[in-house]
Amino acid sequence: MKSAALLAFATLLASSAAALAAPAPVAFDPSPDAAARRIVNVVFAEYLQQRVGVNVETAVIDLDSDGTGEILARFVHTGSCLADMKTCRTVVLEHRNRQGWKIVYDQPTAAVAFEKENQGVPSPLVMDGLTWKWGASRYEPDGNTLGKDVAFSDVPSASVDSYAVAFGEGARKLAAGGYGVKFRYSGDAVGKDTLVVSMNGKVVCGDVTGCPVRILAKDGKTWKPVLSTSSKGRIAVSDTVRGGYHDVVMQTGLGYAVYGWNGNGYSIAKRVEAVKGE
Amino acid sequence: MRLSARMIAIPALVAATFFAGTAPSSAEGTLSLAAFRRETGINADASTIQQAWSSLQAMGTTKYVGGMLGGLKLDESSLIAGALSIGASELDNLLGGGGLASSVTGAGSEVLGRMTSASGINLSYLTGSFTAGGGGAASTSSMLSGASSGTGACDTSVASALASGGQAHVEKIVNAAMSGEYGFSKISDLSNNSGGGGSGFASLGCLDKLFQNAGSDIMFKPPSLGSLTNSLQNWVCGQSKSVSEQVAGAFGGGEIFQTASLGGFFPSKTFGEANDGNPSKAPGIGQDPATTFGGAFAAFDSPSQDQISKSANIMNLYK
Repeated sequence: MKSAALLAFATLLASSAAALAAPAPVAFDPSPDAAARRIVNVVFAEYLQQRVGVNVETAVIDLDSDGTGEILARFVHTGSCLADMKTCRTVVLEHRNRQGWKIVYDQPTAAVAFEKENQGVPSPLVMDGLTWKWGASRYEPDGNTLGKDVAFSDVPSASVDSYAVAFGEGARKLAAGGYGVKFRYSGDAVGKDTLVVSMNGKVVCGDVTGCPVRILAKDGKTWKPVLSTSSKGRIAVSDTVRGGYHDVVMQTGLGYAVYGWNGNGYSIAKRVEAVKGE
Repeated sequence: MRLSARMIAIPALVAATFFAGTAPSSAEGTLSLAAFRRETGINADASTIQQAWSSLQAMGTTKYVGGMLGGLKLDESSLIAGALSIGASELDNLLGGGGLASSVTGAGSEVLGRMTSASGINLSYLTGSFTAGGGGAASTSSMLSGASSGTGACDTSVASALASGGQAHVEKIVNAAMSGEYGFSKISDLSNNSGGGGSGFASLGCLDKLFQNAGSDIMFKPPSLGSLTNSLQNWVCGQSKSVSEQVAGAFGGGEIFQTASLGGFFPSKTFGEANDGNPSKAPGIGQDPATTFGGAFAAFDSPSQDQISKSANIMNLYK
């Protein structure tokens, strides 16, 4: 009996801890008289002027526990939301003494929540299930929740030329010319009869765009490119599937670009990126 | 000791600059590399730049040197900046019309900005050649669509056709100008006037003045002046006075300037109160400085003659 009671108490503690760890949803105030609304009106004056009748929802939460609340704002308007009118532009403003209010998060978002843990830095945000952690001066997406990294294999030297074709005639010459160009591939990572190919090397990668990436789909006896892009690091595959093809995630300078199948090839589905710094 | 070392070093640098010619010295090369880094923000060393240029040569991308990317004339340094920004093979695809394949937002603008910033920097000590490039920035849209040209903004066949067309047009104009029927009038055409007041150039006097005032050129017009001179001269010179009178008469013989009966043309009344309060600070006879410039100016005390003499005594100034 005593042990059963202890077990029940332990279960209660565990569930309470789990409840504490769960992200807390943010309750927005749609009132035009809300105190934070005046600041939003100033920071986004031009944006609001361009959207007559926009409904601005605000919330004030002290995410960094410095005694000054951060302002969360949602703009509900046909010019601010997706067709569902639930995923709308959402921003987080942080006050800095000498710089005033700065935008530290700016993304189309439907569900806004935050984790209550606070270890000397602003609490992580959970936006549509994706965690955003505090970087140097802004919230940055945690790419681990976007998808799994593609498992690449090195292309055998005997097959290099056949893969290099996907990157153009210039790439073929560099691959054959001893410029240290390497190719990696992954079969069926995004769908049946597909290849994800990455080209790496000092002369073929750039500091603006990263390294070239191609996704090829089998078309009869040949392979045709269905995505030509680049990545500055991670190349991942999402659980989301469209038309039999998984979404593909490419790392950009500010975060990630998510590509989805559009029926004929891949195109940008969304960007999950931090706000650009000064 | 330090001074003498500096004295040797400076002439050496000057000499290196002076005798550099087409092959820049290492000092110049260091400066141009520093300029490349500063202007583009690309932190590349000499070997990286050489490798990028070598890869461009291997692909044949160097054929685009001298070509146009939008409004930017490509040179060696701009190509290197592009290659280091997006990769050499991707730059080759871009200039070949394949577009820019990138997931990065604003990559086109950033690359274009770097290429524009790099253009004109002489990296010939690394590349072996220098082509003066630069110009206005190309649009991002044209860059993303891969619009480019290897030999210039215009295809050679089109340029040749345009040049031929232009030359033919010029020849037609010259032929027309030299023809007796439509071209420049000749003195000989004016020499057989009958019934006119004169002949040759002298007879142009009246017409010349009239047409010059009207902005017309009597020396080049269809049809030839010779066939029209007599009739124009007889009619125009005789009629000009009456025409002038008719034009002047259309305004009522000058009554238009007599506005007193309509209230007059008085600025202070016509243009409102802004002109009513005309200040009295107008210098003139009967007004003292205080009235004209205010009391502060009027309170100025003139120095006495003795004070002026003492001030002007140069011996007092330098003793």
